[in-house]
Order: sequence, then C-alpha cells, then structure tokens
Amino acid sequence: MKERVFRRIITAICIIGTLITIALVLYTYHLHETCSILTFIANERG
Amino acid sequence: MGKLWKQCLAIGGVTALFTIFDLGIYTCFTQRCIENESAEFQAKSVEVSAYLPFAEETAIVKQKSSLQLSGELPVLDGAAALFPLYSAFAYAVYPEHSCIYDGNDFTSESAVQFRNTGAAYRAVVDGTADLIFCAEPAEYQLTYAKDRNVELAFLPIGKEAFVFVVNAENPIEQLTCEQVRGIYSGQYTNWSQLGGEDCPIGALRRIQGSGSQSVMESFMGGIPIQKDYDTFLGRAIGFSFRYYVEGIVEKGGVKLLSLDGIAPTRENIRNGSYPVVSEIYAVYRKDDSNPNLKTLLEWICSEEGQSIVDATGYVSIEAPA
Repeated sequence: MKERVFRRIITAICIIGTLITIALVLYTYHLHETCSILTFIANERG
Repeated sequence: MGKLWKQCLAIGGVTALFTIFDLGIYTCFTQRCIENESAEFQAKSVEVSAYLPFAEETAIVKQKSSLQLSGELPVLDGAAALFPLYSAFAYAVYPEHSCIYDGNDFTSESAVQFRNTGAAYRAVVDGTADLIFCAEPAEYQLTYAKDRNVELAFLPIGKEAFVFVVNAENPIEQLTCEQVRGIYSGQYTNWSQLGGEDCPIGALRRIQGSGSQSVMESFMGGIPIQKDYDTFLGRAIGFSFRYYVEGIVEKGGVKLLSLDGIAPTRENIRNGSYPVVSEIYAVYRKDDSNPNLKTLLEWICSEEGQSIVDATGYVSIEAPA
C-alpha cells in the first residue's frame, strides 16, 4: 500500500471515529437531560 | 513483518481503539440514561391509556358511586402520580361520554385532562380546569395565581409518603432526614461518609415546578439544593412519591430508603411515624362557579370518595371505618 493511501485511510478513520464519538457524547448528554430519575437510578450498574 | 502487514495492523488498531472507546462510553454512560418505558410513558410520565376512566382494560379502581353528576361537569386535571386517582373519581361519578380520549390525548371537550403538575396549576388559574389534584405548589405557581388575582383553595384529600430512592444494589438501606439534607446541600459527597461504599453520591433532582421538587424544597427547609453532581460516575439518589414508584412505574432495580429508621409503608404513613408525609390536594379557584364543584368535593371527602383514595393505593385522610 502506498504511504499516501495509508495516511488517507488512517486520517479518514480518525475523522469518522471522532465524529461518532462526538455524536455519542452529545446523544448521551441529551438522554441525561431528559431521562427520568427512576430510570437513571435503575440503570445504574451494580 | 512486511510493510503491508504493519499498515493493516495500524488501520485495525486505530479502528479498534475508537470502537472500544465508544463502546465504553455507551456501556458506562449512554445505557444508563436509556428509558425502557413506552413512548407514551416517556412523553407523559404515566401510561395514560392504562388508566383511562372508562376503558375496559383500565388499571383504575372501578367503583361506581350512588352520586352521578350531570350537566356542567368540573374539568379535572393534575399530577402524573395522581392520574389513576382522579381517573377513578371520574369513573365513579361522571357519565362515560364526558371523558373523550382520541388515542393520544384527551380532547379539549373532555371533562378529564392530564397535563401534569405545572400545566395543571396554570390551567386551574386560567380557568381551563376546575379541579386539579396535586402536591403542594411551588412558590412561582402561587405567584402565577396571585398576579392574576386568583385565589386558590387547597383541600387535603389524602396523604402520601415522599420517598428517597437508590439503586437496588446500593448497600444503603436507610438514612436520617439530616443525612438526606446533607446530601442535597453538598455536605456529603461520598457514600462512605454515610456508611456505604467509597463512591461519589449523585444527588438527582427534578425540574422546578414539579410536585416532587416542590415537596423536596419544602423538606430542605430553606437550605439551598446543590446542582446535580457526579451523576455519571457516582451512585445516584433521587426522590419521588411512594405510589408513583411502587404503583405506577413499578420499576425494578430501585429501592425505597427508610427515613429515620421508618420504612415508607402505607401503615407508617397512616400512623404518622414516617417522617415525610405530603398531603394530596384538590385545588380549585375560590370563585369557580361550576354548579357541581362543591358536590364533587364533598363526595371526594366522603367515606365513598376516601375509600377510592385507599383502594387506589394512597392513604385517605381519615381511615374508612
């Protein structure tokens, strides 16, 4: 694999991965703001 | 190892790192907030369709009264936790055609509505509801009425325990009232300070104007409630009403704490030993001219009305003989 292609693939993975992580964090924050007290407590890990 | 292998390993490694990181976020944080109730419950905090007054498969107490109202009926509204109760009142004394549910919500002509505490207080002040069933009001709800020169009357019709809830796996079984105030004021920030695990306390609260938040503010006696803290990393504590947790939501995975060594049972509410008992009010405008309002209020306070309060799962003002 050419070095340029390799770098492009790594860059693409990093960009996509970062976007997914940001989206997941924003989604989690939204859920946290709207979910009920009882759901939050019940879903707590043992 | 060839160059291609190294490149493939690097690509796989970076992909795996992101995947593991995101799965970690999902498992530790996202999953904790995902509601497992229906969309209707999430939108209205109670399955309205399960407690409709005249549905065949309704979970309310079906007890017809000798009193049957007709003509101009008081429009009923109220808190989520009290919907099963006032729905049972409607079943007992209202004609069936007066309650119209379109499959998603009550129509504007319906004599039974469900808008939850904040909107119900506005509705009774604005005159779109005649009688609402709620816990004590927040200060701004009283101000809303005062600003419009509306005098509200509060008639106690039942009692309910204000409860504190933790995860079922939390080893803490009881707290004192002072310890709870200490948690919400920020004095205690770790469960180990209260005899529990070495784990931060996530003290959860509700939105301003909700019935339980108003009772909580009253319980704190003027001590400011801290903002939510450590809600993701810690073990949480929250508050609600006993019947809402045990009778409506019936959520597994949570447990009610004893306060000052007293469990929030109906018996302990009735005998007054549970320390935080909140009154349930029927709230109406003092100048409401609905001809059936007084009759309905008298009936709710009668032995028949109070027996519905008990049968629904709340505690009547006076125990039926």
